[in-house]
Amino acid sequence: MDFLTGSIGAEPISGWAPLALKEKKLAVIGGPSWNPKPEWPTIFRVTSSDDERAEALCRLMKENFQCKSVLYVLTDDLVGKIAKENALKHEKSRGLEVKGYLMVPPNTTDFYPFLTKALKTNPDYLHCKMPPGSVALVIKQSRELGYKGHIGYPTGMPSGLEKWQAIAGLEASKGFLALTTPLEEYTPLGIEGDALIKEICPTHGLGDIAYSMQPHILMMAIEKAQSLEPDQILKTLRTEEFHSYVKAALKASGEKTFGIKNHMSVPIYFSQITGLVEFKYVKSYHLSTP
Amino acid sequence: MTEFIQLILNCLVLSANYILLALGLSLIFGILRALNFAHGALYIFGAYVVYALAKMAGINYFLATVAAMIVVGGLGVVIEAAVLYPLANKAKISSLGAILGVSMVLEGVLAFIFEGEDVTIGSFFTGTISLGGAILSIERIMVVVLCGVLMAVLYLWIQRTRQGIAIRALAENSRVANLQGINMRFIRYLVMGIASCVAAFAGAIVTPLFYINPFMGGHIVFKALLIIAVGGMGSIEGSILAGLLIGFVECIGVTYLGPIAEVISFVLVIAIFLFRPRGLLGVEYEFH
Repeated sequence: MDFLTGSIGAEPISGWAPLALKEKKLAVIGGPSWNPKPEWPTIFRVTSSDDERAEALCRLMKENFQCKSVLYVLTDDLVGKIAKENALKHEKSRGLEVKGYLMVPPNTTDFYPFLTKALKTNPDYLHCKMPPGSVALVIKQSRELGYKGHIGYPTGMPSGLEKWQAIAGLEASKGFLALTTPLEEYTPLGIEGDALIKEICPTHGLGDIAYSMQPHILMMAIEKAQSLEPDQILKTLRTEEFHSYVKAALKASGEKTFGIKNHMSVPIYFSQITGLVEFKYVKSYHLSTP
Repeated sequence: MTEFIQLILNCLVLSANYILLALGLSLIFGILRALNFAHGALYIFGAYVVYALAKMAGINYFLATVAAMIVVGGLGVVIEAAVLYPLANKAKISSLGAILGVSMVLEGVLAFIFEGEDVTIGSFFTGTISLGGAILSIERIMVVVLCGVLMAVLYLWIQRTRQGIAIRALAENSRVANLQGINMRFIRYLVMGIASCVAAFAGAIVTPLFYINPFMGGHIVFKALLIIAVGGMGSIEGSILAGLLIGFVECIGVTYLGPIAEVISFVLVIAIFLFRPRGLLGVEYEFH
């Protein structure tokens, strides 16, 4: 094996990255919940990070829905803790009054005890970073408790949307905002990729583009570098502009944030549920981590 | 006042949830003296039977619930006949290991059939009512009501029927009960069947509030085991008391202190064991 590509989460990357580095393989990896590090020089990330997605959701809520305050509803695990750290770090720049951080133990199904008091603070929107099933229950139970504000999910629209909406409740799920790339934003290759995934995996579909285009970016980098030398390819990844599944050009960044220019941000497209397995595209952001 | 009513209802729902889980488990331990680690899987199995019949096949929810109780009750009898009874007088670890294996097999079967996705049975009691400004969801009220009905039925069955008397006799002293002509093997089957029915019933009425996936059983059974231990192993009344206690402590704690409340409830559990090693209403028992 000469190269590695795929998607990985925050927990496994810590064990996986040192192994990949030991083998001195160039890895082009997706996954929004971990960050590149200077000590991982050959690991290149293609994704919109959790931080960028949270930032984008806050902007969307301010710009499109005139929200002034937020209640973070997070799972009390590594991903939730990172989300809270980022929210605290960027509280000023996000420009929303934080009504609280609800850190909910994983596997919680009854959110009433958590939400009853927290919703009394009247947040304009709930910023949920947790597994899709839990978000569905937060929607259902917060609506039952009379909450009428917005609910946003800085993660891909849940797969198996019909079943997910059955958990949340059809009416309660209307207005829910999450990430979904609209068809018109795909390049012909993206449309082809989307159709292929729908064919081989009809239940889930393509969903989140941040998990999809790493192999293509790697192939393009090899082509652009006209070399199979990992150093050359990495240099190309760090300096060239790429066009892949989506129309927007993708370019590496991250030197200031991660101490290494090994992050290629992809656009963040928000859609809003309007009916049963129906949603409309709302807005997109292409934030480049500084 | 509104907040207080809401808090009480939240506590009652959580407690009812715990009690429903613990009742069957407690019944099994009381008679079979076995820790049924497959109880959570049976609960989820029951929920999936309702899901398959009511949601996928369009059968009436209440009929589907009855069918789930029969199916899971039968499954419980099979588990008793094939696993628990043959290992009843063997080393404790063998029955524990075997029942854990049963739990995993059940999870695997569900994951194979239903692909491990989160699904919901769906609400059959919809809408909310307002009481003194507190918002009460009808399906949550129904969980509390049905939990009460189940507790009453179980209590009457154990206290007032011949089978109940036989069960209590067996729980108190199996050797003497045997000498009195009580068919121990039949009672064991009966208890395992009824306890599994209770698990299926709990799965059918509680899970519409939430969602189900095949792997939820392990987490659920852990909490249920804790409750029956606090209540006193094998004591139905103890399980009810412990379910109420832990439900209220956890719910009030979470509302006012956040997730740290779970730690508080575990500290409470440790304290109970320190002062009452047999649990709140526990009696002395032999562990098989």
